[in-house]
Amino acid sequence: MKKIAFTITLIFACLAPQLFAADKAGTISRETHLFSKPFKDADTIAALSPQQAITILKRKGGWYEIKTENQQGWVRLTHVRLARKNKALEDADNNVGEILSDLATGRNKSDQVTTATAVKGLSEEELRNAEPDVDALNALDSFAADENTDNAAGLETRKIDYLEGDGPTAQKAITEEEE
Amino acid sequence: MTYPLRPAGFFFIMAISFFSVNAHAFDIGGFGGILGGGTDEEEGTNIDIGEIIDGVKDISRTVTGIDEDDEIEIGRDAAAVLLGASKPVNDPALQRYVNRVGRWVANQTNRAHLPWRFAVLSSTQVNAFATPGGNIFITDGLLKTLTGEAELAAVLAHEVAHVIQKHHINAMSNLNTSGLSGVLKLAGQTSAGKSNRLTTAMVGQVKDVYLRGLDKDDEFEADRMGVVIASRAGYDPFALVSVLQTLDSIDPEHSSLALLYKTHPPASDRLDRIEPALEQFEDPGEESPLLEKRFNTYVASRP
Repeated sequence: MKKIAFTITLIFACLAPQLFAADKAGTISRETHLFSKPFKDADTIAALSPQQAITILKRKGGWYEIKTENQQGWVRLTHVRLARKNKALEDADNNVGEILSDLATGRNKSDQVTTATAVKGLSEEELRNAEPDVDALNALDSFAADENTDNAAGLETRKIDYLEGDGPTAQKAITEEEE
Repeated sequence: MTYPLRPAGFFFIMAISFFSVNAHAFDIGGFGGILGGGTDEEEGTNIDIGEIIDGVKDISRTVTGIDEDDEIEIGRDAAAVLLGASKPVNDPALQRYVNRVGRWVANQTNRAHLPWRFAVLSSTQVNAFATPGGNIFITDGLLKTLTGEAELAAVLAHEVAHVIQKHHINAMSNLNTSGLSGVLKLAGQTSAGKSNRLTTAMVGQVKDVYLRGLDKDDEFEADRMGVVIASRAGYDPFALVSVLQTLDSIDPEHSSLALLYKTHPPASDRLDRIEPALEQFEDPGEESPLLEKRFNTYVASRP
């Protein structure tokens, strides 16, 4: 009896991420901490270890609010990995994007769309065999936006430097050294 | 669905992802090719002013990296090759939208004056490409995994960073036995003029670079710079993290990720390495817009 219950639980556990795609399951990716608030100076609630299973509740800036087995709090975004969606993708042939967007939006149009939009291209072999297409390149001009384009979404630009060692300044420094 | 039970050892592969640094931003080997280049055509001892001027021009190219016109021409060759493998999606509104987002992002860099072109390619492979001089492609397969304009901007900003840093030009000159001068020669820029462009050798060189991919450190740099560039443009700094987390949630053996992972480090390694770029944004201040609605108008609601 126990064995059957275990098997059922196991089957359910295997299917769960697929059935409840909206529930974001994840794992912790490294030694880190659970914080009481989404701030680096906030109190830490617990230590978290790699591979610890979590449920992601929501996101705020660089933090996920998560639930562990018995605690709830905030963890840095980059210390989390989302659960693999292998099962759902098994039938996806090569159209991963379509399946993922269906999972995210709750739509289910993949069945009819997959075959219709399964346009390949840019696989290793296709790139190897590609013949240059200058006409397609020239045709891109008609969609281009110019230097004066604004974003039209009211985005405000910010002044932010590249990290030290990154970007054009770093490259210039190397040039001067070699001169 | 074994993720909660994954063996511990597997995990540490991510932790020890420190790759030997093979900096190759400026390839001294290129000089050899250029200085030796003059003997290809003549062995005479007469001093040819034209040749000296050409030589000076070549050397100045190496010192500054490369002449911008050359860079643009080589990039157009590379873009034509990629477009030979996959055509742009036939959706003018979508293409204009992606150009608007991409251009806005590229405008936040020191190379806003380049002739930036962005396009969605109809491939179901999950990937994005940049070619020198400002040609950026994102596949439909990748676009459909994204959930908002901020994520699109993050992907485009990563590609813009490759262009800013001339990563592909550097990769080409490293692959070419004569360095940068060899690439320029293939591109028909040093001797034969434009009639010689898109030779079999040039096409082969382009394919080599895009099939091998860039140095891992170039990819990590483009991730960090991409975060900065997209943030300058007003987008959510963490959008690239979301993209990488989505990619990490797809089975890496899936066929649609084959070329991406042949040419890029695993998404999980990239997440580990992107952290320093995000530290300055760590405490949530104002929420940056994700612009999901506008994105969905053009992307998710397509037929």
